[in-house]
Amino acid sequence: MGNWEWPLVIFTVLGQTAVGMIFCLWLTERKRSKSGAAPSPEYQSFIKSSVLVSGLLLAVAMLASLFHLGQPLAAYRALTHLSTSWLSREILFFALTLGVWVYLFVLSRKPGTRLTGILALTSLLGLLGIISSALIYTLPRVPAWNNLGPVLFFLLTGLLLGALVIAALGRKALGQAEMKQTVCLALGSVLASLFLYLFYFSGLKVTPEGGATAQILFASPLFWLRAVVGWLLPLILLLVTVSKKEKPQPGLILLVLTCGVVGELLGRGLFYLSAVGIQILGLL
Amino acid sequence: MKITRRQFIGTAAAVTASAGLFSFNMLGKADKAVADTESKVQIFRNVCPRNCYDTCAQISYVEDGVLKKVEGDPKSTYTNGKLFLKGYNYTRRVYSPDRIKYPMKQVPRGSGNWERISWDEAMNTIAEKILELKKRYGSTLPICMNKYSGNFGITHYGIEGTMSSIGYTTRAVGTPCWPAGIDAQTYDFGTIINNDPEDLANSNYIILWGSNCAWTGIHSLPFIMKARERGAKIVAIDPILTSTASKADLYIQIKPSTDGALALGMAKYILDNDLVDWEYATANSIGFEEWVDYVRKNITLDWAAEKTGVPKDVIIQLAREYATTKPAAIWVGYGMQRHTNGGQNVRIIDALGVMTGNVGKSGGGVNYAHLETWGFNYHAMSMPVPEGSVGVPGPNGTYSDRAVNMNNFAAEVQALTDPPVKMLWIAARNPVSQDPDTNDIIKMFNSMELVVTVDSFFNKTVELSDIVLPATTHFEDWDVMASYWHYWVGINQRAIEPMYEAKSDVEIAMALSKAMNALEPGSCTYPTEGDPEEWVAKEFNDGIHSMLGISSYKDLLDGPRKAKISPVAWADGQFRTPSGKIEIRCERAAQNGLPALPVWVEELKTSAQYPIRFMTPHPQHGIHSQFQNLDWMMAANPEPVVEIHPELAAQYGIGEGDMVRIYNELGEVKIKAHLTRTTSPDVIVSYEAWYKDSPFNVNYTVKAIPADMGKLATGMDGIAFHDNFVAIEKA
Amino acid sequence: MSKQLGFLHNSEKCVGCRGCEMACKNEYQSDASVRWRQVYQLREEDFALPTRIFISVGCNHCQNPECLRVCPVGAYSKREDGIVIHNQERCIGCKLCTMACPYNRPQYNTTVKKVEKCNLCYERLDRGEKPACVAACVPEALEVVEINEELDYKTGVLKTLPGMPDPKITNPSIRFIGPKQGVQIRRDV
Repeated sequence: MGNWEWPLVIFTVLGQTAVGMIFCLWLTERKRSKSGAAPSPEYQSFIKSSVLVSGLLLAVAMLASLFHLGQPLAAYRALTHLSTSWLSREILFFALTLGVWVYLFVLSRKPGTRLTGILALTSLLGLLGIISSALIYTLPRVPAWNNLGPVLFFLLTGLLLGALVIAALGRKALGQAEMKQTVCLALGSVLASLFLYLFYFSGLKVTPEGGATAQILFASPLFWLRAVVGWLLPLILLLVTVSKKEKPQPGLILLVLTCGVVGELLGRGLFYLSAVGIQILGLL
Repeated sequence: MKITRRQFIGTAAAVTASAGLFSFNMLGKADKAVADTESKVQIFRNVCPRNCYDTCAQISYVEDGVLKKVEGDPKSTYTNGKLFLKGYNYTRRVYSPDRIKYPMKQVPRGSGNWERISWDEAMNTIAEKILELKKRYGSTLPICMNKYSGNFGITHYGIEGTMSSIGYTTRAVGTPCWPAGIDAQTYDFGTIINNDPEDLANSNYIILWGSNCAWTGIHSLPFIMKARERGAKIVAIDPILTSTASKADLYIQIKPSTDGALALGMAKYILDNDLVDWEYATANSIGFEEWVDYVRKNITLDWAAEKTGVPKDVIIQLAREYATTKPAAIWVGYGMQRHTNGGQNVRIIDALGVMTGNVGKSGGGVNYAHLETWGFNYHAMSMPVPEGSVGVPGPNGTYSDRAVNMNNFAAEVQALTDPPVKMLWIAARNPVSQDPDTNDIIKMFNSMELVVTVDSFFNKTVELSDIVLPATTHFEDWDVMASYWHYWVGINQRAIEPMYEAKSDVEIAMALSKAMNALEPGSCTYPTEGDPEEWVAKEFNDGIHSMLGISSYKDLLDGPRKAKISPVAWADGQFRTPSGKIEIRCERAAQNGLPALPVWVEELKTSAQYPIRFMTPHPQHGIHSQFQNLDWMMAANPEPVVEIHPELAAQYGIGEGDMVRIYNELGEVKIKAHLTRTTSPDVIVSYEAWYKDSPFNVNYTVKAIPADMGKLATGMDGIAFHDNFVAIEKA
Repeated sequence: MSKQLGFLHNSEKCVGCRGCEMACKNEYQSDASVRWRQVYQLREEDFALPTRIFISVGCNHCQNPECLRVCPVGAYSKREDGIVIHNQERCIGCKLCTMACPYNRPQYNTTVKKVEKCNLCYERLDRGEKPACVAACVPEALEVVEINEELDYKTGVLKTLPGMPDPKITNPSIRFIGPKQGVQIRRDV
């Protein structure tokens, strides 16, 4: 609250992206396993690199989170208060996700293995991790966070960036329909995110702290940058892509991905920066 | 705010045996440093030597030679086992990383280029300079000392002793803060004596007149509250709605500097309604009828209401309540007399106390201060000048020191020519931070050939010095301390060894003497050796022993003692005036060019150019330039503010948190605004202090305007600090 | 829990002197980056007349402590007498409790890189002494009390003051005696 919290920005955005990627991979694999078609070499390569990238992102994310702690070497203790602490649960789920990812990684190196099941499990654990992450911030002390907002923001980050990374990595390997589906997921996420924010802002005014958060955001040039780069540009570019029949140009996908990443990083930083806590109102 | 005994009695005169010096015998008693058997925690007795009403008796806890914490001594019924926010910060002072550890030299002065030097080099440099100046000018008059209240411990009068021991020197004489009130009470009663503050609990009506004791003397508050629990009414009269005033049953926001008019209005009502205690007044005073006549002929309630801004019916209420509730006490705060008519206003309030018969009564009194418990030997100070010393010529071929007004220091030092001042010795003082007209002070410093300062931190005076000598804190020193408000006296033990290379002022004097005598034998009479505890022992005399009911200073190791004097000032009716009575009509005042009677004297008015009064009272988080710079204080109170009324702020487009430029022809200061209705629309308030690493200093706009009194008892008139007129704008 | 200890703060007596704040620091020699007890000046506009009104807040040892709930390492525990204790040895400095407390009481010590807060001087209490803040208060405005219905029914005892967060969030164990404002004759009316 009140600062950028870079370690947490990186942890949440990258971690959510990783889970989003695995989720998109699961959707793709599921469809493919139904059709029964044999995977092409490009596709196999795509699977291997996607799984690898998702794991790297997850690992970097969890490493980054250590920088937030005063005592990073004692981070293991964070698993010990599962009874009431969402932070404990988040660490547990992400640790399990990473653990299961190792198995996923091993399987992904064996060509021809059906990964649907393992991808589903990893996604589920990751999903529970993201939800736990969000519930950490659902604090009565912070009215701007004390609602479904964090859960939805976090899920949408994961979906948006996960889909875009998959689209970028699979720009050659994915089929037209698959690419379309992935791009549509991204587009849907941007739209949902935008509408969610509009709805969210109208609700903020109910409390003075929420109102203060809204003021901070509207007065911040970075928020408007985030809006343009993170919503407007991707929206336009993705609509253009979806409207075309051909597969989208790789350059375009990378551009949208870049915009999305910048937007989400800025957005997450602003999420931490703009939060205003209930406090004793007086001169200190 | 302390005055030396010398200054109290008169300039340039030797200390005369006046009332307060007795003679008793000393007896020895065993030491009592109690050790906690569970851990190796040692307990010592200390007394806070700051310029503060409360002068807390302290217990310090030392483990393995390290001061662990400081508490109040429960043996003092005034301190009552509790300190105050400042006292609890002491470990941060003792162990502050900012503390000056060694003698240091700065070349060039003001550059910040500090270099560590040895004590030998420091003392040699200083000794050489003193002797060189002596040779050049034929005397040590070019050396000027400015010392005051940084440390009021009795052995710190060794600073004056240092100067005496090298010859006749130029001395800053006077006291900046409270002399107008002292003179007023000296004219009226013969000297200052207040009722024991613990006696406030016996009062049925208490007027806190210009006193913010919640910040400056909080240990008196429980006694005031005890009175209230018994049904007493508490009234606060103050231009500012302070923390203290916030607790009053009745708060009266008076126009600054018009307190005498309010008192005269009250007197008129009391007179007209036959509430005068004629018996007391006529038996104990002279000139009372003459004053009553003046009041009858010249004062009306309408006039008083207009002058003070206090509605007529409130003056009537106040007058009636004060005159009819017995006993009624008035606490005259020092802020109230920091005006051009401050002394006169105190005289009028004294007269009010006399006319209602509240003087000399338990639960009553017009209480200001006292010095009854300060009758020490001042051995550390009483050094003879070296043979053949030359100074300011006096009668019969005698010589004396040259006095310069502490309250107009910059201007007067720069005006001296025969001989000029070339060297400054500053100790227990911070003129660059605390004196009026900061710009002129800086100019004066820059004209010196050598500036030596003794201090613990690189404050603003040290920043403009050539050599700084590291001072000990009182935990590293032996000393004895009395209070100017309560009646307790306590011993201050050396609880820990001096930190780094710090020395006490007496140790510095001894070191200087050694250095000087090595260069020129006989040039300094200060002893070159001496045990710190012995120096304290030498301060005690029979008078002190009997007053405290002890046989030796060592009895105080057991606990502080309360003076065995009447808790009620002037209960015996033995006033110390020339006539032996309360001098409502005072010839001495008339001889000194002041009104003989407590009549109204017009207050200083703002000008069209500088229409706003800028008051700079004492802060909460520090004492002058001490404490606020410490880390815990900076965390609790990180920056200064100027309190400004929303109406005034609106006129200048100033919002909460905006920077305000406050200026007049002398200088300017920029402070962050805090909008509050606890001040009035023509008065802005900022509390004087030294914040760490901050240029903040309220004194840039303060002129060295003298208060009307102070010369009689302290040698110089005081400063009208609160007659500080400025203009403001949004910065 | 057999009982709930807490603080009773009397704004009628409190002059906001900060003696309690500094006595706490003196007792524990705590770092400059944390203020276990903090004196706040309440806002002028929240009261009928402008005066200087203060409250002093150490940890409120809440009945539903958010800090305890969110802490991932279980560093917080609540004693039988209701005192919420922070075990600094377990703390990993994640600062979530500093975000969760409406009163800003757990604070991050930047030197030690862990969180700290007032522990109601439980070691002193267990020895039969008063907490450092209570013992040091010159106007005797601070008391340790048992928070119970009997106390809440006493006249003048308030659960909250203007400017304080809604007590329903964490059910803090602090009660107030509200400020009393005297008669004011001011020049701005």
